[in-house]
Amino acid sequence: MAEEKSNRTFSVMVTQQLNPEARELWAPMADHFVRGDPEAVKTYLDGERDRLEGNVRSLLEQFKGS
Amino acid sequence: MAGGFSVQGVEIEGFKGFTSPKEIDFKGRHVFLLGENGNGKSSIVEAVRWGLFGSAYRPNEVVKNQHYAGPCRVRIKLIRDGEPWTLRRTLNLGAGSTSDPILTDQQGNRRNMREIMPQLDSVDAGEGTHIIFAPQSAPLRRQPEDLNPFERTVFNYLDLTHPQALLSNIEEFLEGQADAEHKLSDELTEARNNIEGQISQERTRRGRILIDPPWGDGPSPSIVASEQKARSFIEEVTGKPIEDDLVGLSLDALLESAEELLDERRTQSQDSLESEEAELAKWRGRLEDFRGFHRQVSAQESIVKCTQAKLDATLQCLTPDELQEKLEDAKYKATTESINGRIVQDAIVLIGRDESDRVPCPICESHQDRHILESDLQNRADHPDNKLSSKVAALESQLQEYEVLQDRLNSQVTLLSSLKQSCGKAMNLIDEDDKGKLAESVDIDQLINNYSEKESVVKAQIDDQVTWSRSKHTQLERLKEESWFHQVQARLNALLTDRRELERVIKSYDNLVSFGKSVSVIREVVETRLREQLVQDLPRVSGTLSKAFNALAQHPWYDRLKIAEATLPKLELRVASSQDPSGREDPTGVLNGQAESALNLVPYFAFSQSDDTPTEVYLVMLDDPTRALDTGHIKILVERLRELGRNVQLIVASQETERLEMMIPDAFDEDSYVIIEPTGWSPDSGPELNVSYG
Repeated sequence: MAEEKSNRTFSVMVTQQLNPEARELWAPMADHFVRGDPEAVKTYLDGERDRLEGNVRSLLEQFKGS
Repeated sequence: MAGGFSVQGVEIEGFKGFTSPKEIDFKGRHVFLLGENGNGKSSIVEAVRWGLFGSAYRPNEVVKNQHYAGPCRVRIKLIRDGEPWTLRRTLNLGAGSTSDPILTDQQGNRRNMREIMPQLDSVDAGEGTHIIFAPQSAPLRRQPEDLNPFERTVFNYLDLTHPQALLSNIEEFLEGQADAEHKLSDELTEARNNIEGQISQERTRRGRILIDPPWGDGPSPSIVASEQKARSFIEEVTGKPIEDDLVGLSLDALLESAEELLDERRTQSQDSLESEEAELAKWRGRLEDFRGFHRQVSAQESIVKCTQAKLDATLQCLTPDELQEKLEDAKYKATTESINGRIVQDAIVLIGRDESDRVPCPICESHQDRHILESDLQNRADHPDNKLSSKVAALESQLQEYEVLQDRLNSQVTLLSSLKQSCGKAMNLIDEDDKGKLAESVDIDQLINNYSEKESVVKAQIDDQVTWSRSKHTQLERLKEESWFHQVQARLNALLTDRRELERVIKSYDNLVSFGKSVSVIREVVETRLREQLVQDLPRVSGTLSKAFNALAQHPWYDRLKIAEATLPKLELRVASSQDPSGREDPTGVLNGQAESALNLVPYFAFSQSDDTPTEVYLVMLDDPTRALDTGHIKILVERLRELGRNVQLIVASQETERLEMMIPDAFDEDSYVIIEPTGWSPDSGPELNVSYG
């Protein structure tokens, strides 16, 4: 619990210094971090990047196929 | 060790240097593994570590003994609050380096590892547990993580493990993000360059066409208008309405048909005229041949006639035999006259021998006056009759001329005969109608002129046909160019559509980049926040580190350890001296060997003995901490270990057998430690161990 509290404090301070756009992205990252799972943050980010990269690749393949 | 676990003993089978199962009883005491390298000391330390955490020290390290056919297994006997527990870990064969731990209580019941020993759930030092490893050979035994043991210890000590791990994970993600962006950027740049290049190419083609538009002045026609032009063209070429099978064809197909029809028409009309022209030329040529031969025959006849006249004149109404006979006769007379001349000469000689006044004539035998006779004979000798020889010469010349003329006449007659033959043949080759007309005494020149006039008419028709054909071909080429324009325009439109599609892809890529930038912003803030936290805590950490360093190194000048602020959140140690008024900080490389060895041990002592440590240390494992230490510093180390050993269980491996065997009994209670000396190793039984308790 002490660890979660410490992480939450850290997360709040990070949140306060972020712009709105980054803050929106940080929210789900912060959830994983506060729960003491920094690895899950990377998993989450990798997933988001895979999704966005997938969108680009899909459109690119469509473009190349056209 | 209150409240925590202590390691009672370990049973090792098929792990590293161990083959057959070997049990080592620690009796829960501090463990000192002494002896030369290569005999199994480190295998025991690593077996305990692997048994607890299931991870090898190095990535891809092979923990299974390759000489042993049995399993790779470590069983650790633990004591917590007086109760025995057993932690058994077996390597999964054929499944990489994974292993499954089984924790059982004293009744042999299997218990949930996470529930009973949450601090052992991960390799990283969790709450209540501090596992510390001294690098035996730093270059070879680098930690797989991006943090060195010192950094990990400090972050754990400051309760900043998670923020640091967060930062590390975000940075690792950003590396992958940069790779992904880079690859996609390359592909998109290539695609964009490719499409822009094609657009530029098509625009250039269109520009070239528009310099001299095939449709003339005015705006470019629609494709429907161009198709209508093509259909009209076909109608002009064929001279009839367009056929049903050409209705609805594309512009290209229409133009292809138009070209075929134009060629077809050109072939039909032009070939027919050319054939007619050739026919006329043939009959005209044959007439000309005949006329030529006929003229030659006439000419040759004149030549023969002329020669015959000359021949007749040469013979002078004689036959050739008569001329020959006349020549023979003349020759005879000339010979007789010659003999007479010689007789007169002889007579003159004979008369000259006779001195009489009257002498007989040697020719007629009559006596005559000598002088008169001599004079008469001499006169005859001086004036011979030359007319006879001249006559012979003239006749010979006449006969020779006759022979020449006769030969010439013969040749001319032969040629005339040949010409007459050729003329007859030529006559047979001319047109029957023409023969009839010639028979009717129509002038052959007139007939030839008639043919020439007809040929001129046909040639004019051919020229008209060629001119028309060229004109149509030019028209067709313009239509083709118009079609090419439509193709270029269609490709250009398609490319512009593609470019809009590509813009959508690029926009999607921009979202990915924007996402990466947001993560970068977060990374910046996390790093800043972590740095701020570290800056706030550094004085406390530096004080603890300096205290441990002074105790271990006892360096005459450097007595302070500091973490450099400039490189935060990367933790870099600097050394300083309290005696230096300038407060200068130096890199740790300035330390001598002893001090540097001591420095490597500082974190483990500093954070395990600190009063204000937020964590509780149960077990400290040190592999070769005495490396490069002299006797004095080993003594200091043993003293520090004694202090450390009051709170935690120690497992220490060292090559300094003799010195430690002397120092350990003085520093530790005899029932608080066990010394294990590997004395040898064999492939069958593994390490031979000499175990002595206090």
